Amino acid sequence: MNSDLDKDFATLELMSRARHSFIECLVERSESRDEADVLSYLRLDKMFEFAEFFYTIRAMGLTDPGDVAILADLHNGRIARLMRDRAALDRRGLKQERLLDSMFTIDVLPRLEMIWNEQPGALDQSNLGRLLVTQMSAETVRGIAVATEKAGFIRRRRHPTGAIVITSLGVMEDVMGSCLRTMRCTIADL
Amino acid sequence: MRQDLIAATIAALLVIAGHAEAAERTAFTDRELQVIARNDLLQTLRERDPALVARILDMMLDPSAGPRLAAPSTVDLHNPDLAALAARSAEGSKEWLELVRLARARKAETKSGPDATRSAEGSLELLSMMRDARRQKNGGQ
Repeated sequence: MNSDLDKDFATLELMSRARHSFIECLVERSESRDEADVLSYLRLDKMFEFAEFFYTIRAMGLTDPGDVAILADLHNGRIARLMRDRAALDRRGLKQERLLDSMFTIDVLPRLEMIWNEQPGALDQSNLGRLLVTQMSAETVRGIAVATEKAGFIRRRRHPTGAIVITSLGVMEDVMGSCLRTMRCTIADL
Repeated sequence: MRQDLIAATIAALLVIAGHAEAAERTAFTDRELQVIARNDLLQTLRERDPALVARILDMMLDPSAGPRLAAPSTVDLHNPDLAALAARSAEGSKEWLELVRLARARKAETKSGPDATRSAEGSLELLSMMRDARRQKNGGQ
């Protein structure tokens, strides 16, 4: 394979294959074979973004007590910037009111930090929805969370505060990491 | 796949209601078109299975159907007529409303336009935020 165009095309193929492989690996690793309530969710585009969130937490090493405070602060900053950008709001179909609700305020922050500090990486479902607000609805977060729990990818439990706490069991991160590494190494050999 | 499940469940409920033997038709009156326009699920099904939509409408508009057993516990503004139909069958009510909610969520997921842009930009933003978080954590290194 010599020409740039051949290599570009090969790269495109690899990207598509990685995307397909990601979905198929998740389906394979699922503990549930329920097509309607589990596997169909694993095949959603939003599932990739859901997994991406947990993968990036791991990849960036944000797994210590206290790390969530950094994330919350950065999240509030990006939301504030977004709310001032009318064109971006329109382009991305985002409503100011919903973005405002997604900010970590003085009444929300303590629970976020408490749950994370009890078990780094753990988030209550509503706060996970806040962090993913620019990418998907709260309803989608809930739907994917329920499906991935049935698949054995996350654990959902009722916290003494009443919140539903989500902890990733590492499957999504493993699958995404493996797909990315294969793609990266193969591209490097082109 | 999800729409197939919904269509199959509707067909099953029609059998229970005794309307499965109705003659197939695919043309709609003005009144029926208004009902279809009010209900997201019927709009979605009309393209894929207009005969099934016709059977649902026959059941819905059948004057010999029994009185409502109970009002739905939640009002589905996207499928008001289907919710009312579900209320005629106490057993079907909960499943109907759940199916309708599911269909609506599924429709929203496959919608293109702002959703696609939101995904791509949202992803890039997230990655950038995570990098910044690591940098902050490591003291700006």
